[in-house]
Amino acid sequence: MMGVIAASLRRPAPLIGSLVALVLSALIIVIAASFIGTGSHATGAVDRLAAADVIVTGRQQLTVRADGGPQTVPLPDYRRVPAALAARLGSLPGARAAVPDASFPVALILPGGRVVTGTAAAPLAGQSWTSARLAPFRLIAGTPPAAPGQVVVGLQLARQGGLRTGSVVRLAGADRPALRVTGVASDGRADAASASSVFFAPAQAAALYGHPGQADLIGVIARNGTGSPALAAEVRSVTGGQYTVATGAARGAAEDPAIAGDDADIEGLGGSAGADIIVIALFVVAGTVALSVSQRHRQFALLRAVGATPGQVRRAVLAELAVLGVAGGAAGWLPGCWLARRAVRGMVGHDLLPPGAAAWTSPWLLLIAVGSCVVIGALSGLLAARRAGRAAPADALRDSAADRRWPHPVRTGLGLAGLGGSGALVVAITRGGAGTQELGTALSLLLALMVTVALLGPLLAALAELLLRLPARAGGVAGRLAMAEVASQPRRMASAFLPVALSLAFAGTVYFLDTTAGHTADVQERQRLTAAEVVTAPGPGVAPAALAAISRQPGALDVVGLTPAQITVTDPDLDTIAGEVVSGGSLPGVLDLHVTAGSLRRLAPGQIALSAVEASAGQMNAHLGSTITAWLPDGAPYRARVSAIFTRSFGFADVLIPASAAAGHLPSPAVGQILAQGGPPGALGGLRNRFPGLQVSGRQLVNAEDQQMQSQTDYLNKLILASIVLLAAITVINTLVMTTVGRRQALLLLRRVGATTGQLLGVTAWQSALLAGTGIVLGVTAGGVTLSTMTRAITGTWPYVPVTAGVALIVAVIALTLAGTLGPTVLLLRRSGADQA
Amino acid sequence: MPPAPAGSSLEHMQATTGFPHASNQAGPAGRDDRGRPVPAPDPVVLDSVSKRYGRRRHAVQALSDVTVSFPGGTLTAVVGASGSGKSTLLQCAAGLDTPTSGTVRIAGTDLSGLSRRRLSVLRRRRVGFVFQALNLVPTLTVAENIALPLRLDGRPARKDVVTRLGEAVGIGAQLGRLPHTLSGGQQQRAAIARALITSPDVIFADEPTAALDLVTADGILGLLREAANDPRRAVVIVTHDPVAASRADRVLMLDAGQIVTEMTAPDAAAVAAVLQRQGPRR
Repeated sequence: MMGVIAASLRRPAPLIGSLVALVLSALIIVIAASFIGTGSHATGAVDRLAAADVIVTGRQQLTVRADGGPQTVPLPDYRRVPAALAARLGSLPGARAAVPDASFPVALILPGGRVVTGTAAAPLAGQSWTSARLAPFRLIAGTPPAAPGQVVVGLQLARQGGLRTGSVVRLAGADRPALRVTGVASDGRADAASASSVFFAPAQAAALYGHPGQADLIGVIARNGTGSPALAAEVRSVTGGQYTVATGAARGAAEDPAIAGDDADIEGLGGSAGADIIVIALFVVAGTVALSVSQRHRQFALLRAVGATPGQVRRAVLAELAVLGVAGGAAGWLPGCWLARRAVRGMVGHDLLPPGAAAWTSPWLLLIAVGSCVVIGALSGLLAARRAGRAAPADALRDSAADRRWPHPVRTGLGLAGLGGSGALVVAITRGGAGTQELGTALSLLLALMVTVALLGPLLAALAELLLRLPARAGGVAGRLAMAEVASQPRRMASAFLPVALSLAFAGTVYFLDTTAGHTADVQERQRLTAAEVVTAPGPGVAPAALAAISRQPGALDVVGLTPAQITVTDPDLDTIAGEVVSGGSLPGVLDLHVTAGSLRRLAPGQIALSAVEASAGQMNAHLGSTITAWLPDGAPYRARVSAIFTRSFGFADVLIPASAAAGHLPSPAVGQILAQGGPPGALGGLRNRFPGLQVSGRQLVNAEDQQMQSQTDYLNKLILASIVLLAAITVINTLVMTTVGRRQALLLLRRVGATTGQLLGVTAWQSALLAGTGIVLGVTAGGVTLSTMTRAITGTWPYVPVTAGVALIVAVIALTLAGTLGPTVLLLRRSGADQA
Repeated sequence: MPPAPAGSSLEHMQATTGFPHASNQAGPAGRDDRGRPVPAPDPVVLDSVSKRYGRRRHAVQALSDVTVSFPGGTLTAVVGASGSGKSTLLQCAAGLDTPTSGTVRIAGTDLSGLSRRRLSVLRRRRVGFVFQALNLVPTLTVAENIALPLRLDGRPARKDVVTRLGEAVGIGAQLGRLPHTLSGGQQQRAAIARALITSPDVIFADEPTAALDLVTADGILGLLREAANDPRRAVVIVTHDPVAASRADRVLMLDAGQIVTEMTAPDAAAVAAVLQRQGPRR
């Protein structure tokens, strides 16, 4: 039989469709595997701490024991260490010095009024001048800061801001006198640290840091002749297992704790979203393989008639798929690497990965691609191989392409069971909520629905033919012929419209889930904010003193401070979500969060408020009065009782924590924004003298953390959408071309009987109409059910489908269908016309 | 191994393949209780075979209680109007289809109850089949198509055997070509060669000359006639052509799924007259 398999490659036309599907699968697998590898290898550049041979930090992972076992997530902020540890480490034999490093976000107002906050990847940070030796920074002009009110700036920052010794700057939003630049320092590299470092006198730095007696990390510099490993061993002998000791490239994660989160995100994207898309690819390959095998039914029947056993035919089909898998995997490897590199560059641009992160494109990816495609080909071809093996030998005597008259009872039964299963999934999602796993859950529900459509395909094709029969008769002989062909080959028609439905459903679901979330956020934002004025400042925010100052304004009614923070909860997996820390007065006076249980009038220590999505049964399963544990950005636990549940959380936050509980556990003591109700309009502008850079706006409430997370989510969704659209478009064209080529004999026979080219194109056009129409109806139905279920569960609203986008999607699907049917038909007819000439 | 009839252009095939004739293998019908040799059963025996397609009011009775045997060394032609059950008889006799009732024996083996796998093995070793058209696997060369039953059986296909068989049927020069480059007659010759490669007990041919011109058809029928000269082999052809039927030792006429007439070595005119009397199936 191996000779039969090898021989089938002599005429590869029937195999090209399956090969294309496997190449697509290889592309996706390579990209997903590259993401996982990138996440596990990315360490971030060692920049600001380059001179520290060993870096000691708190354990940056939060591990929580749950029912399913321990779960670990990276912390979004430093788990701080005692600054006094530096003295012990500095006395080690191998250490020349140990320096505590404590940085805090700042925004500078330059002499001309321009505000500098740094970039998203390298925000402007203040630190003590004593930390300068960790880079090391050396003065190239002026003197070090010796007293409060004096600063030294990095060389790149000085150049970009036009600063020099003697320049006067101010801290935006701070209740502080102006700062004088006493010097400019350089680390010898034109890097991010040089553009984002502001050095203060140690006492002022400690006051601005806001965490007395603590530091973000301790940098230990080795004596001459002592290597990093030896020094690290000495350090570990002092610290035990309580802290993390990093050397070499691992110091990059210590320099930026967000890197670990970025790595986890990209690994998660490669793992979970990649798995979803690979399952879709499996589905697509299975459909293509089934079509390829069905088009060679007579060949397999001939083999059976000559004496091949069912097992021999099955093994031949599977071996053929294994060969195609090797070819497909190899062909998809390099394009997949190229696409992965492009995607990673985009992620770096969206701060999903640290600057300088590069895609992992090891040659191992070739092995992964080939191995996976062989497995996918074999798995997806199991049913088709079984069907080929069961080809009736007597079919070799028949030259009929007609399918069996009645649908296969097992297939129909499974389809009905799938329908029931999908319904149960809809109910479960509606009751349990989908929460933060919405995209993965949506794809799972959609996949269940599409499997149902695939199983019931022949029945649906027969139904479509029945509905279109009368209108087709109005199309004359072309319409009648088209419907006759559809009626005799419902399975082939189903194989053709399934990718149309699949592409529309998946692309539509991913895209409109995103538009719905965005629209809901916009609507809720307009409904949410009732405050008259919103006070913010560039950088970390406004000094806490501003809260009291605004409260003392004449006529002020409610004044509330909100500071965004990433809070870790179990929902039910350990997950980091957007939160707000609430300070000041009564929240309902400035925000209408549509509280459905409890009250937000006073959020006291020991209390916590949750969004309805987070509190739902599928997430935290919490209700009013439940006691839950949340973890603050530095990993400190906060055990609290749920005092309120609210629904208007989109674009805002899912958890509210009182400021008193979070004090000392946030990256900065600044307040993100202050909402004020009451008082004469414009009066707050007078506070700008005391709090430079203060911005007072009418109606814009922004959670910077949520905005950034949403922007990143949008980019990731676009990546996933692009993958699905690419997969879907090529699949539609591929399958339709295969189906059209499979009609070659019928088309040529009709031509010989006397049909004109116009009539033959008319037949194809009618069939395209049926394909497109059925595919669109099924795709819209499956996608609509999925979208509605998800949006009702997540936002409580119906899907938001912009008309233009919806029409564009349907037009694109129709165009693809026509391209995949009429195009090959025209080519076939031209070629057959040339042959006859 | 007993040689093929002298003068047969296929005698080298048996002499040189080294492949034992299937009927030479010792079987349960070799000797009786007293050790006396018992004649081998006819290669194909149908006993009360019926075949019905569909159910209830849509049911079609394609064969109705047919009992017939096809002895070795004979060429039998099965004729009848369209829809009389000729192809159904062929399919059931060859094990390509399962009768609704009755038994079919090939080389003494009852086909009922055989698994798909065992039936396939039996077919590849004991049965040769020539279809009306599309006989050959399109991606295999002519030589590979001829050798296919041996390869399916896991046996080596000696190149010289395939070459000699190809030459014997008149396509020695086309062995390396793909089927789509051959004429209809050349494809049928290749199919006959494939049917003969395993020295089967029976060869079934379904309308083997339907799409061929008279000269080519005559050549094909000559090969099938020659194959039937082996006393241990039966050749059964389904045809609607009186000329083709006249080459047979025996002609069975089917009507409405039953054998209605049996003629011994009739001429073409006699066959045509019988067909004329039968008329088209209503």
